Amino acid sequence: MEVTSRGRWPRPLPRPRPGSRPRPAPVLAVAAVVALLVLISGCGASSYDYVTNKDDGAFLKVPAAWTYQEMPGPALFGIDARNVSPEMLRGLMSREWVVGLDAAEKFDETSLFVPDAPLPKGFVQVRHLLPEEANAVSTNDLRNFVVTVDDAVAAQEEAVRQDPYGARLAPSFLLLADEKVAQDSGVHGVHLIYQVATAAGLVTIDQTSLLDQNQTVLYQLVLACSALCYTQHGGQIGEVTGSFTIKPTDRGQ
Amino acid sequence: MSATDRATSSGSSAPAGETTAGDAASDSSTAPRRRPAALWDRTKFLLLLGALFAFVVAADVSGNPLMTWGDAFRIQSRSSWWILALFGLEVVHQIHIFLGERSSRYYVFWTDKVFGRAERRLLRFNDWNRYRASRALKVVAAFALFLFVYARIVDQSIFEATVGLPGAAWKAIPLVLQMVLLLVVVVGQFVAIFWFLSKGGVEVYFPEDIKTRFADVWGQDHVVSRVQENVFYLERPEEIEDRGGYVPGGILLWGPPGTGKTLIAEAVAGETGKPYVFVDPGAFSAMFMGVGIMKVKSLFRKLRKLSLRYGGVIVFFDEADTLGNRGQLAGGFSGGGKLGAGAAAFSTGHNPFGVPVGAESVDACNGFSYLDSFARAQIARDHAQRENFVMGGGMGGSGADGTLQALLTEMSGLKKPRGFLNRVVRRTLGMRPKPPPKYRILVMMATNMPQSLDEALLRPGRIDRIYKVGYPSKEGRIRTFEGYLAKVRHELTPDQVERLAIMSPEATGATIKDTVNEALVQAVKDGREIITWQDMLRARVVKEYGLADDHEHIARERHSIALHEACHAVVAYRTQRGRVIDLATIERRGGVGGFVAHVAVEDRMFMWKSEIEVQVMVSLASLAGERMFFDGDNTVGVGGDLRSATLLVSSNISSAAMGETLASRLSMIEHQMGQASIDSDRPFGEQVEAKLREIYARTEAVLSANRREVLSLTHALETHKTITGEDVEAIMEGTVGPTVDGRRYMEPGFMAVAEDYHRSAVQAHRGMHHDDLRELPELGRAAARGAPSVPRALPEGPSTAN
Repeated sequence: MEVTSRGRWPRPLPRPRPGSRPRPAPVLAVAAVVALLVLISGCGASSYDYVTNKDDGAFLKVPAAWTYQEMPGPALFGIDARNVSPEMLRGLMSREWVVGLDAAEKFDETSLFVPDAPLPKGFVQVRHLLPEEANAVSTNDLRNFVVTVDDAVAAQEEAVRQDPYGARLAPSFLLLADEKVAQDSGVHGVHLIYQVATAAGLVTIDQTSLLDQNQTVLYQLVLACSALCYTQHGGQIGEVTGSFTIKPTDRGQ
Repeated sequence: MSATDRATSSGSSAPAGETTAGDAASDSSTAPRRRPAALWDRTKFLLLLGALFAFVVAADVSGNPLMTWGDAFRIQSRSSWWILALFGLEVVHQIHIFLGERSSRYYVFWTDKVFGRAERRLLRFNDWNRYRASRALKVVAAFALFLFVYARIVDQSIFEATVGLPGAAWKAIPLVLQMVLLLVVVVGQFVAIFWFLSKGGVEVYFPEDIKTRFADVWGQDHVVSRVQENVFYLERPEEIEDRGGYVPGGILLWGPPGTGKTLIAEAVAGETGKPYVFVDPGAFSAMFMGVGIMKVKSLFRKLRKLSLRYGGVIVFFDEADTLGNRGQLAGGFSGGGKLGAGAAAFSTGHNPFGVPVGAESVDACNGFSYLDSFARAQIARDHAQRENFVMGGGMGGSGADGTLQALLTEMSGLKKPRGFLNRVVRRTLGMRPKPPPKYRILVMMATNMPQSLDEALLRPGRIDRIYKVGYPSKEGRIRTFEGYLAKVRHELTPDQVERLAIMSPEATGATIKDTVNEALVQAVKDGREIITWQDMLRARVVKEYGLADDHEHIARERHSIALHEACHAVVAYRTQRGRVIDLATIERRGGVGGFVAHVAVEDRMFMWKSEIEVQVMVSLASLAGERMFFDGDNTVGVGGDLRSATLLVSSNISSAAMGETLASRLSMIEHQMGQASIDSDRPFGEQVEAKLREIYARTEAVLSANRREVLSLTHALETHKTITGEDVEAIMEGTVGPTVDGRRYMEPGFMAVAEDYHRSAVQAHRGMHHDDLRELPELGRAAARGAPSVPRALPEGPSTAN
């Protein structure tokens, strides 16, 4: 009959059992290994740089030693921004994407189009054509965007006819390669390599001009340097040109 | 980081971690160490940073046909070097933790010397501020992480992405709206179904809607005054709240059906200035699980709203027993006394059986207040055990779907802060939500079956007051009779009305209304417009005892039955106090051949031993009379009387010292002690038998002294089949009753005629005559006819039996 109130007080919490000793060593070891790997691989530099425009689907792989920089496109050359409405300017800029490429250690915007550059220089561009341009453009036109190749070929042939030896020894224009390019999704165009004689000497130009299926977007990669430079760096240039890949997006439509 | 997941932050004063068992060194058991971290805590940040880095690498590879994983990895480990740096820091941190778990010296050095000061500074903030600060940090970190990931996905710099985020969000609105619409369509169907299901059963009244007033509640003055008190506090809460009290929140009205519980509730609705919400019984029972809960919640939402708007609200649950219970927590109600003293028992904080009661049990005059608490508790415990034994399992839990629980929590649960602005916006802005306002909700419940209510529902805080609405007082009954009689034409005097009220102690408003109506039916049946006293009496008989069937007793059985009932009536009339004969009849009703009905004219609580003996005498009168008049023979019809006599005697010997012993035999049997000794000393059966024989002898004496009255009543019963208490009185006293003229039985020649008739009946009983006994003498009927005022007229001032 004894009235007890024992057991109302909470008992002390049980101590953890000896078996529950922590064994964090494997975890830490794994973490350390992962960290080490990461640090080591971080030190190793990549051998390529990637110039990409995901919005328009233009991809290019250049040697890591090269430098590149985005720049205002040629469409804006000569336009005084003060005379253009900001919307217009933004619209124009969004229609054109240009990245200058320079194999030199320091990117030099001013010497980008110097014909006798000792190291490869050039640019890659994406241009959304204006409706008028899009209507007028043809695959043949792609050949003549930088130099009017067909005229130059005709002039050279004429010169050969007149002076077969002299013109062959010192040609003013020499078409080294002329091939059609067809990529996935209907991207098509031409790849030309040609030599042009200028006042500063012979210049070799490697030009890839592509259009998408609807011929509304122009993709162009142009690399140039002196003929001597080209014989030295032709492999590199070929590699860069070969990596030029287009994955058209619906932005161009 | 190290501050937040530190195991203990109390510096070096308290031993922080658990000791690592298995260490042999004795000091290791006391030296503080970091508590071992869980695997998740060790790895979560490493995983997060690893995942982040994997994401940036994958983001680089994805969509770029030229990119290789190796190049992406190398490129990102240069451009996103900070992720790897954080990863490295976290590894160092984990090593630090690991060392802290192993080495006490290392742990104490860092916690005490290095982080100790910062920790103590951090402790200067109170908990709330620390919580807010840490929450703000987490939010900022999570947002930054989100922005970083988002920027990578949209291939922009993090700043461009931040600026562009609102625009992107704006653009995403149509998509979001689409999804919302889809959700609305899918979820909306269910919401609509349940919304419809959860409607109904709840009505709101305003004072002007209801005409009932407290003055309309008759005969329940004590309850009404207490209820008024509660309503008063609801309307003027400052009267009690300023003094540190609180407004009582719940009232339970319980009592027999028809006693005016709902009427009181209605009167409250009519008198109060607050809205009054009426909840139908069964409003919470629904076809689907959970609808009941929704209904409770929506009801209380409505109540809270009304309460805030009007400063208070009253909600009334009629037939509250439909709310169900969850089975017995600690027994239930034990009949009469508990609820009456219930509030007191609850408020003392003892168990609910602090005052053990029960009509026939060990009840005591003062609720055992003369005993000390220990003795009281022990008695209560025994009582509870007994109650459980008797009642256990009787109640099914019907609140299994959570409706009752929802009601319980709504009545007295967590009071949550109110409103979206308050709860969400203020908290988001780092402000404390305002405390919930004071809701003044008066819950009223009415039930006939308080024992089926959940124990938890009745605790103070939910139901603070428990009032029994018993049968109305005499004044109330008189008033009720007057009230209903005022609506019809009648010729009853105030004295007769009072007598009616006295005769029907358990009459309620509903039964009184019914009786008056029945009297009117009787009058109309007789082609009269005005209700007479006779009509009232007939109506009462019909209503109280039911209709007699048409069975016709054979003559000699009729005589024995009449004699049997006459003996009961005579002994009752001569010995009883406080109770009067209501009716004597030999008409068959159901399986009962005849009976003498009594009504109490006093509302009493206790009976005396001598009064119990009188009851036993009345019970034994039939046996004594039959044996006396039929030469020692008796019918088996006395069985019921003997049973009740024996029960009364034995139970009172065992618990009320009616016999030779004082010991409470009942409690001895319960505890299996002393049974043998008490029986071997004074065998219980012998005690009972001796007591019964003693009382039997007294009964015989009363009957022999009243032989004339027995024969007179027998004659009257045989003649009229049913006579009222007033007739019995008239015969006993030799006056004129409503049906019978008792003066004729006092005439000198009556005894000779009666004895002669009775003799022939005895002879017929013994089979001496093969023909039935001779015709009943017409004396009584002649006497009745002779009285000029008998059938219709009212007796002058009916006097009560004692």
